[in-house]
Amino acid sequence: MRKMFLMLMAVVCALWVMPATRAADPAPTNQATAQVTQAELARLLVDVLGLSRFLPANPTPGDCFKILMSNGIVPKEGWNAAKAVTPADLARVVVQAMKRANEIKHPEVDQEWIDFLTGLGIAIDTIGKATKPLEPLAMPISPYAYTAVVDPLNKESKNIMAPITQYGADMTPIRELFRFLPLQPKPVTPTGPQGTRF
Amino acid sequence: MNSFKQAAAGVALGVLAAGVSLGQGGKSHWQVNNNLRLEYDDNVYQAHTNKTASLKILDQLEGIYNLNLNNTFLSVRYRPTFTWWENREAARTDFLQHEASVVLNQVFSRRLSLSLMDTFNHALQPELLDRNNARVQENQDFNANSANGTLTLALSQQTFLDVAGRYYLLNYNNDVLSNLNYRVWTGGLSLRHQLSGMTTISADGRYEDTSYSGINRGAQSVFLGAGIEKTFTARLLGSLNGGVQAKTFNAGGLASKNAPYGNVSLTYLPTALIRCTVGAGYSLYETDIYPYANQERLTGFASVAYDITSRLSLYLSGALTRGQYNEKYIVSGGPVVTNTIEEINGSDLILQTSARLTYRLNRSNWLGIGYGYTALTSDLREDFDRNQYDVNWTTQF
Repeated sequence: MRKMFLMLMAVVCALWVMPATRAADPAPTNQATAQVTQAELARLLVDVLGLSRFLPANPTPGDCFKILMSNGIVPKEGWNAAKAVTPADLARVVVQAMKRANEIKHPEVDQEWIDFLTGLGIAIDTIGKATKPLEPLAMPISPYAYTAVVDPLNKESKNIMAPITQYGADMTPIRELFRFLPLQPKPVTPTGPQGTRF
Repeated sequence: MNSFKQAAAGVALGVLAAGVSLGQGGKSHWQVNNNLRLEYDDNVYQAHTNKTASLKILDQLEGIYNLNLNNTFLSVRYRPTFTWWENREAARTDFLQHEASVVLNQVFSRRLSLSLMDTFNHALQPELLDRNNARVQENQDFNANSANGTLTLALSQQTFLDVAGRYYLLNYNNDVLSNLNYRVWTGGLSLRHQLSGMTTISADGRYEDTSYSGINRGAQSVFLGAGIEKTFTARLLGSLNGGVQAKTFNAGGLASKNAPYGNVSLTYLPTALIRCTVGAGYSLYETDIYPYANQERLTGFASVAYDITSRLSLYLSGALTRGQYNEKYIVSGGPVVTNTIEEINGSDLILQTSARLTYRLNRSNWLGIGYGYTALTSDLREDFDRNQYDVNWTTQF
């Protein structure tokens, strides 16, 4: 375990110094909105809003869409992994992520969402600038009940072991209980040996 | 405790790396939250009769650090919880529970990315009492750590290959329970293809190896399956995956078992103010009942979040889990304790429900009331039910 942990930390440190040697692709977060897909935007929002810990490592676009929708963050026409992000989409999801969607008087009008951010001094010409004011959600909603996930890469290996917050409400853990079985045959009368039961 | 030290060192190293890398530019963000809760629990020991009730005061302090560079995202989170019990043995009235997690996402290029995640939990569980209020099980304080990593390679604009691994360990602090400690190694491959922006299909393969410290309840499983994720409308999104699981047990005399597995979930927004999600899953699973090596588990859940007003929100969650146990999967060789057996084939039914109403005082403070109900009905162990009521105050600094 110790060796594995040290190897893992070595990999993390190596990855940290690697940016100097990576391929020269432009960073998606600083691209103009037209060149970024909704899948990429969703992934960025999940990280910035502190929702990554509820999801598998490297979640799929569908995982990101689900948790964002559960937290009330969704473009006007829904999430579409391949669709390029428009300024209207970006403004809407950023305002929703700031939990200020209730301040938009006419939510069906795209320009109102853009004007709202402009009024706050938040530029939306790039993803990076638009998401800069976002913070981890103080009351995040996680849609996953651990007990229903069967993928061995993501599941909780026993019933909920520690208290978790499921969709804003706390779920009580179920204790692991065990009953010991005797090696001798079962008693055949009601007055057989009585012992501790759990 | 070694696991805790290692996890804490990992967290500290993550923060150090993040602090040094600030010189490269990017956005960093600190956030501190605190949750203070007063709770009434009517069945602290999960007893069938002669229940013990207690007031509890819990305080959870949460620190989150996020660092967002051009192609790197790092998040470190630490949450200690202090618990005071009004009605427990004097020696165990104070608890400190630790939870820490680290997430590191690195984009190497448009084709290659890596995600690493580690979650550590040092949790506290009090001793258990039987129907005569005699202590029959010592406290079950434990350390659990889950380390996950996924490397994603874009084969084309629509097709991705995920290579993933996970190491999970669970260690009880109590020597008596050390035979329940276990390790799980998992490896997996997933091939994902976007048919369109609204539909993604996948083919999945997994290998899982579970081993226990005590009597050999371990097993190896191979999973082969497929999945689909679909956005049906702007307000409805769903996913379905399933396949076949082949499980081989380490203990001699236990026959291998092949069974289907699957899970489904739907997320639906009836209005902009209401969000709900439902789902169900079935698979062969590790057991909570010693000395069984296997259970067939079917589970379902439903959750709703409703923003009643701009300040008032209601959250409801429920989960129902049924575990089926068979004597064919009992592993012999455990500790000898005399006991009567009335059932060795049977099932567990676990119901967990919870509700919370929160009111936002201002941008940094929320008040809330909550209720939770948990019930266990079992052929194999004592039934119990439990009610928990709480009021809480959450502050974001």
